[in-house]
Amino acid sequence: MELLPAWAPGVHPLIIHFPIALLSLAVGLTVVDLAYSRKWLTKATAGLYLLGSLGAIASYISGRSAADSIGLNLKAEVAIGTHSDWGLYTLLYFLAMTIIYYLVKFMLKQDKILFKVILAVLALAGFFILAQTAEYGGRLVFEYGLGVQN
Amino acid sequence: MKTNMKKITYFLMAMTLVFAMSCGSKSGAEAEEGHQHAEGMEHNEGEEHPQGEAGEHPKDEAGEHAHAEGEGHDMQNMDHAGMMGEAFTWMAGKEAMGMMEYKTDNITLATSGEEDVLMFEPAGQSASCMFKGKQGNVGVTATVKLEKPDATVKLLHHSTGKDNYEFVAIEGNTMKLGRVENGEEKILDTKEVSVPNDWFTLTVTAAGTHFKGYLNGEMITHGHADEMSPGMLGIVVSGNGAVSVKKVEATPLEAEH
Repeated sequence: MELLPAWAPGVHPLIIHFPIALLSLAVGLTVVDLAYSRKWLTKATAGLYLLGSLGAIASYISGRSAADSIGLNLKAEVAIGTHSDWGLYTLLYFLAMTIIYYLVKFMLKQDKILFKVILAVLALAGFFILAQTAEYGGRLVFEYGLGVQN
Repeated sequence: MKTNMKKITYFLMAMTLVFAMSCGSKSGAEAEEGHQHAEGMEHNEGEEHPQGEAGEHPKDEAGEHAHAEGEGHDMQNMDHAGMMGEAFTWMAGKEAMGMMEYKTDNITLATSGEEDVLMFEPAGQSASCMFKGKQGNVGVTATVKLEKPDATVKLLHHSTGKDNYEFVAIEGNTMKLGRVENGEEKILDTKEVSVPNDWFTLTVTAAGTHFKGYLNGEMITHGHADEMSPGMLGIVVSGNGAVSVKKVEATPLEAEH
């Protein structure tokens, strides 16, 4: 039995939506934490950052493989490079964000408003990087037709 | 205090919403613009570039492109095509020689089968030619054939002089992707390849900091380095063998917005 459906050009499009959803939710909960602070919420946010970052690692590796396996496409060449660069920034940023979140919430056990605001601002900056990566990825499919049959 | 926190939360949520909406509208506008670019590019592809267009080029600058070490350069007295960032297709033939900035004496027009080809016979030294005009982000494809073994063929781009250029090379059964900066060669990636005995296409793309080498449309090498200044395209063959080239195509790569 084939693990990949016949229409799928690789695992990248199957994996990529998990870190987008997980990390977006993590960012949202980090902002919610400013007004509605609960222990279970902190644990859930930490879990989302961790799972999202792991998903980002898998997405980056599968994305590199996908970029190298497509044939020559001169029109999309720059967009592929830009998406790849933003993907790397997203991965590195959210790995750092996850470490910072765990450090602040579980090791330093800081619950002051100042730390919450800093975390929220950092999370929103991460969301901007994530959105840029997603936008270029979407353009590769919907503007340049990469990975689309016929 | 609690009220202030609520206000801050609402403010941040509103900012996120505004950002998300601006991303969406920007994406739509760019998609429309990108579509128009793509249509424009199709007109350029495969188009023969007119010779003798505007853009004078000082001869001494062209003389800097002396890739054939230890050889005199037969500078052609030709008009500068001034093909900065424009797509062009070069086909071997007498008329097409005007698109060259210069070529060394050991490159001749010949025929392979019924086709005109440019024959590179370096005889232990280097045979090189450079095309007029400068290119930034670009994809270059040369249709080449190794006529006699023991020849290394290099496809050059971003060349601003004999000591500064980027290249993809076929050396034996190896494809090398690299750059020469101030005379120092740096290899970005290297892979074993099975080089066909017949005609094949050798392609190099330079997109920002991403550089890729293709053989017959299949990506073989991929490297990363800083972006270089726009420069000329060219071909250099070295060794004792012979290489024929019948076609060179250059396509400027779309910039991202």
